Parts: sequence; C-alpha cells; structure tokens
Amino acid sequence: MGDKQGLSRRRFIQISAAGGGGLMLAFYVPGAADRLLDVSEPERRFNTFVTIATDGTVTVKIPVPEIGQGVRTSLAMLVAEELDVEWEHVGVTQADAADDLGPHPFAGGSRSVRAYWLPLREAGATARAALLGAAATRWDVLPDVLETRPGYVVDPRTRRRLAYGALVEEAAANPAPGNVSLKDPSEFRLIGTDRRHLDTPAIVRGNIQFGLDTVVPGMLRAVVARCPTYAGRVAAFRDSAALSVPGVQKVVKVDALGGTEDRPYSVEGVAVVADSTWAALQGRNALDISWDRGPNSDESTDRLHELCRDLVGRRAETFREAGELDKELASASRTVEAVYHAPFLVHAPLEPMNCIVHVRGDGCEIWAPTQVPIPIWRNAAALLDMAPEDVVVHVTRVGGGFGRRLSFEFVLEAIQVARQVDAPVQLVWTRQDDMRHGFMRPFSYHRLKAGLDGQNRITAWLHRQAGTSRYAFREGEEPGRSEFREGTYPAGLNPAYRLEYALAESNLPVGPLRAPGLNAFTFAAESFLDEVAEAAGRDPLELRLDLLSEDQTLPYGDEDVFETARLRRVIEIAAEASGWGTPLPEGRGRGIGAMSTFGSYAAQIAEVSVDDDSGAVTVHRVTCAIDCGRVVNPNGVRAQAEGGVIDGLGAALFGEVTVTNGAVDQSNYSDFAILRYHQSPEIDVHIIDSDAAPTGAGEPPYPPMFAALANAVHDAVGARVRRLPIRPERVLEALAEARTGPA
Amino acid sequence: MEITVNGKRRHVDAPGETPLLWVLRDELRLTGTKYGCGVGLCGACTVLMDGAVARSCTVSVQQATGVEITTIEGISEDGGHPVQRAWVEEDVPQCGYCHAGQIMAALALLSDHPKPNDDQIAGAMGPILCRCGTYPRIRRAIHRAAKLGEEG
Repeated sequence: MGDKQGLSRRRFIQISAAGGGGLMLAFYVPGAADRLLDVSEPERRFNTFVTIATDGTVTVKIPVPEIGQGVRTSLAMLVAEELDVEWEHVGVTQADAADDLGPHPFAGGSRSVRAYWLPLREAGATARAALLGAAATRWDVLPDVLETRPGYVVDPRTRRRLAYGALVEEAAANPAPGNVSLKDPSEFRLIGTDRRHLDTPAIVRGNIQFGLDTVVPGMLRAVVARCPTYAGRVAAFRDSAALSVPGVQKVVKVDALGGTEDRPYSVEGVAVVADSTWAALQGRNALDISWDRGPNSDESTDRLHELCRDLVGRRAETFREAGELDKELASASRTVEAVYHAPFLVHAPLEPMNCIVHVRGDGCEIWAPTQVPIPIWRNAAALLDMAPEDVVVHVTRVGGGFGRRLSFEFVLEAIQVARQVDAPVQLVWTRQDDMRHGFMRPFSYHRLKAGLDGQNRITAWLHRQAGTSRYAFREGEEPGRSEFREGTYPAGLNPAYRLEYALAESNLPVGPLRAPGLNAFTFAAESFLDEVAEAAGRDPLELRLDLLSEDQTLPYGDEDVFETARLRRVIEIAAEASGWGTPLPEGRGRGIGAMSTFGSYAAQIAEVSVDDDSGAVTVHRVTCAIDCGRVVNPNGVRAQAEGGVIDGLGAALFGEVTVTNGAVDQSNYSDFAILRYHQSPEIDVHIIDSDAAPTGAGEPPYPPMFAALANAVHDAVGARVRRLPIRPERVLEALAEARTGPA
Repeated sequence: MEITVNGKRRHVDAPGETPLLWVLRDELRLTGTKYGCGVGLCGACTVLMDGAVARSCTVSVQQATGVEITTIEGISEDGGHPVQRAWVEEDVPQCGYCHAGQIMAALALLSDHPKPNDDQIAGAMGPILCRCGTYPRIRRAIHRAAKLGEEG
C-alpha cells in the first residue's frame, strides 16, 4: 500500500470497491495482533481514506490526482460531511498508486465526485459510527442514543461529550461497523456550500509542489532529443561535445516502447543526463544526431485536409441511424447542407511533462504529475520486471491535465534513463518538446445535411464525420465510436437521422482532450443547428427548445442517459440571463451552444462584436448555465465553468496544430496561442439547483463554446465560419462570401 | 558570483549565461518561480528585479547580479501580503501553476498603480498566461488587493 513502515502493526478498516460497482467493507488485520500495538504515530486509520489523530485533526487521503479541478477539496467535503467534523480541522494527503483507492482513482471523465459520492460518504459515516460505538462502550449505553456534533460524540440526555480524538484508540480496536446510514441531503452542513480550495494558501506563498518542483536527494536531470518526425529513429549520434558541457554526466539511448514500430507509444531518442536542468539542455543542444525520419515523414495536415474533404463528400459507413433518412431528404421541402472542420489541437498544460524515477536494486520510486497513477504503477513494474509492491508511485500536484496526462510515455522514458544511471533522475520536457511530441485532439471534417418540411420543421438529419480517430488502432473498437461519442443530441431527436463515419488513416498520435468525442462534434452540430434555423426562418433558441420540447430520457453513449428537459432548462436559463432577444448595437451578436457531456448539461451564450474591416472578434460576455446534479462545492463548479469557457474560447479563436513532413509545426505559445487576460470576457455562471445524482463540471462547459462563438459571429455580421479556429482572415472570407454568394 | 534574492546575498556556481530561472529553481531550490515556456511568452517565471517585473527565463544570472531579486517566496513571511490575501479571499487558483507569476505581476502593478484601471490591469496581466482560465478571479483579486492595500 505504499507505506512500508509500521504497516504490520496497524489495524484498519478497509473500504474498497467490489466487482459490479458495490462497496465492500473489509476488516483487515495484517499480522496476528488483536488489538492495536505500537503504532508509531498518534493517529489511527479508520479505512483507506480517513485518518483521525488524537488531537482530533482529520486527514482525508485523496484518491484522485489534483489537476486543478478541485478534487482535493470536493472529495474531502464528502468525508467531512458524514464524519461530522468542522471543516477547519480537515486536511488532505494525496494517495500513492494503490489497489484500495475505490472506484475511480484517476482524473478523467469528469467523474471524481460522481464516482466517489457514495464511497467517500460511506467512509466518513463508517468512521463516525466507529466513534459512536467507542463512546457507547465507554459510557455503557447503546450507540443509538448518542449523537454527534462536529468533532464530538454527545449524549443528548446527559450533555456529556467526548472529542473524537479521545475516542480514536478504542474505535480502531473495535470491529468495523456495518450498515452505516448516510445523511439526508436536507441535513448537509458542508455539501452544497462554497468552500475555498484547501491548497490556495500554499499556492500563493509558492509552497505548493508540482512534479517539476519535486526534489529528491542526489537527483540528476535529463532531457531527451527526439526526431522531429513522429516515430523517427536515431540513425547515428555522437556525444563527445555533449559530454564536455560542464555538468553533463552521461548520454544514454532511449528506445521506442509500446504501440508498433510505425506508431510507438513512446518514441526513440537520446537522453542527456546532467546535474542541472540547464546543463542537460545545453548538453542536448551539443548532441550530434542524424535521424532516420521514419515511416511518417510524408505525413501532413495538407494531406489530411484533402483526404477528409474527399471522404466527407461520399457515402460513409453508417454508425447509427433511425427512420428513413434518404427518403425524408428526398421529399423535404428544403434541404440545408454545410461542411465544418476541427483541426488537431494540443493540450499545452502550463507545466510540461516531467517525472522523477529512482531505480534501485530492490525497487523503484516514481514521482509524477499524472492523471493515471495506477497504470504508471503497473507499467513501471512490468517494464522493470518488479513486483508491484516493490514499486511506489507518488502523485504530485499537476500543473494542468486536460487529458494530456492520461498518457505516461514520459515515465517510460524516465525509467529507461534511470536504469542506466545510479541516481534518481528527473526527466523534463521543454515547452517545445511538449507541443511537438505529445498526442493531439483528432482532426476531423463534418458534413451535415438536414431536410425541412413545409412548416419549417426538421424532418431529417445527416451527420457524416471523416477524420483521425482515437480508436483507429484499438482492437475490437469501431473508429467512429470515440469520435461520435454520443450522437443522440441533436441528431437523435429528429424523426429520421443517420450518423456516418469514415476513418482517415494516419499514424499521427491522437488521444483524449477535454470532452473527447464531443468537442469537435458539438462545434459542427450546434453550428449547423443555427444554419438550419436561419434557413427555416426560425430563431435558434426557439428551434432548440422546440427540438427538446418533448420530455424524454434517451440512452446516451455507454452508460449515461440524455434527458431533454435538463438540456432545455440550461438553454432557457442561459438565454434569459444573457438577454436573448433584446436588441444589440450594430456589429454585435449573440450565439448559443449547448451539449450534454458525461451526464451534465451545459449551455453557453456568447456575446461578441466583430470588426468587419479586420475580421477581429471581441468576446464581451459569456453566459453559462450548467446542470451537474447535486453540487458539492459551488465555488468549484463556477471555477470549472469559467475555465471551460476560457479554454473553449482560446481554442476556438487560436487553436490549430499543423503537421508538415511528419513533424508538428508549432512549438510554443507564440504559434499555438491560448486566451490571455485581456481577451477574456465577462463570464456569468448559473448553476442549476438540482437533486439529481452529482455529475461532473470539468469537461461539460467546453464543447458548447465553439459553436456559441461561431454562431455569435454570424449573428453579429452575417459571417459563417465553418473552419476552426475563427481567425480574422476567415471571418473576412466568410463576410465576402455572404455578400457575394447565392441568396 | 553573488546575487541578492529576497533580501539575502546568495552565492551561486552556475555559469553566468544560465537563465536566472534555473539558478533560482535548481541551485537555490526556490521552486516557487515556474518554468512554462523558456522564451518569455508565458510569464510563469516572473520575478521582480529592483521592483520591476522580469521574465527570469530570459535574464541570465550574470545580468541579475547587483539587483534586488524578489520571488514569490519573499513577498511576505506568512502569506499576509495584500495581494496574497486577496488571492485567497477570491480563491483564484485552479491548478495553481501560473500564480506565482500572476502574483508577482500584480504586485508590481499595484506598486505603480495602487488603484489600477482596467487598461493598466490588462497591460500588466496580459503577459502572464493562465491555462486553466482564472482570469475573471484574477481581476477581482486585483481590485480587492487594491482595497486591502488602501486599508493599510
């Protein structure tokens, strides 16, 4: 379990996930002891997640990495609520990779609160019940007559009370209580209230430790030279110049690992190991490497544009359909058709990839800013041919995830270097490395076509997608499934629809980026809804509300459902709050985007102005409505909504990665820009008050933003931009087209 | 050579052309100042040199001798600087990586303009990227820090 000291002397209640999604409460005594012996710290662990010290301070072990989504606070609130303690007495630690961390010990899918809502509340309730039991024994009463007040067990009849800290020893010596009951939401004191994030005071003092900040005694630093072309190889290299740079200690080869020769998971390279980061970088500059550019040296985004334009113009494989689409289209009074493009994107988190690996004779220790500690743990053990219990993976704070750190090729590189050096090694990717050698959000084209009847209602909806797919090389998976993640809205609300998918084959590495499978899809589908509204002479808001007017609960992807009422509601609330329908000055417009992501619902309305001489777009305000079920920390949800809006705007206005001769062209925030302070609009967030089961907020606000922006630009000046990013020159082109094109 | 960091003279061994950022982080173990881009575009490495903002990834340690360098670790003993307090009160950070740079830039801004207008804020904060999108809170925190600074 990561803690090698005193474990055999501890007795603790274990809470873990059972197969089939239930919870299993296991009482585990490692060693023969029947009561607590010789515990080195004055505290007792009640289960994997909760430790209570004799002074009453509570420490919650957080099973999910903190990437800025606020889990170190929201998950601790779940425990603290049911345990019944003052929030000021709660602290957190970050869990190392382990087997007993519950149902979802990784950061992804906007799933942390959703998955841990019951397990962590049960952990807190179990600890509370154990304390009640201990007090009951001490007072010789039945536990049911006792109550708790934050931090205390009280006997309401006699007013006597005992602090939790005074009860911990006895509580830990008893069998684990079974069948604990959870609070009714009406009793919540913490859940649903605004809480500041626990680490903010440390952050503002510069005391917070990210991966890159971690220092291990004797640590060396390494950087890797990689072929600019993906999957290129080292043909030859000379290291004498590098080795003579002061501070450089060693130059070692790193092999390609995983995947295939043409599509390795981790690429080949040459690592320079030095006693400082700068020396390692200088050493790398001094390497003399000749590259074999490898199998992808002809690949380019130009080729993909041509290929996808072609694919999206021809019938493709049916992914999902209902009704008789072709017949409906043929008999429609009018049809509308448009083609959209969403480019490759990179995640570009501000902390670049890095980790520390220490390979010793008897084991391995890793410190990584990661979204996936357990896969790192298991893969490191396998790569090193060690037992999992001999490998420890510590999770540092993560300077931005966005899906990038679901991959851990940088750990495999670091392991290879660390095994060739007798010291801990911190492997660092520069910003340029990070932009060029990671994986990308897939490249796609979307052709949509709709049929309208005589009453200007949609009768048919075709969405054909052609692009690179995250599932292209996954055995047993349809490539369309990762890119048409759901497809239910808006297509599935029409009497006849068809989703088609054509794979554009490419070895370029693609993977998940914030709301994968929905971010590009929503740009196309929600932009097209507006184009249909325009053709039908209908208001885009009215059209959406009409489409969603019948209360339905539809299947949605693998495990979610789509409730029309909930999407309708966020659209209505955002529209009202944004002043939809009220007049705007010349050159200003509003646009809507809405989508359901991972069980939550978000709608945004962007208000922009467009300079029709330069094509520059200024975003004045975004109104966001989000329904994520019952909210744990409203402050945190607002932060995620603000962040998702800004992320979406930046990507919509600037985000594009191009590839030439198999190499990424962009290298820094100069040519792959993100939104800056002065470009950021006023953001007005409305959180729906809901008692539905909690769902996430990290990803849902992102997908709607692209279409909200494109639709607002169109509303402002009549320019329809169908190709992201929405650059000024594309706005001008669209304006020209609007003026000269067919009516 | 010697540099002065947070009021203390510190001896450093790094070659003179080493960026100040890496000397602070690797040699002096002051890891509060962050690496984000290496070319002065993102502002994560922002420190103060004689009270003015400097992107420490583009300043050599040689250039930094003879000035007073202030890093995030040096702006208060206990996190009590008005900017830090405002940042906590508005709960600004998400991942937190950019905020040393944001705070140093805000500090310099408020020294020059104790009651900054929106243009002055934009001028000072535009160079500092936040990938998580905390800009609305940064704005509120700067206004709050200005008030706290006024209250003395």
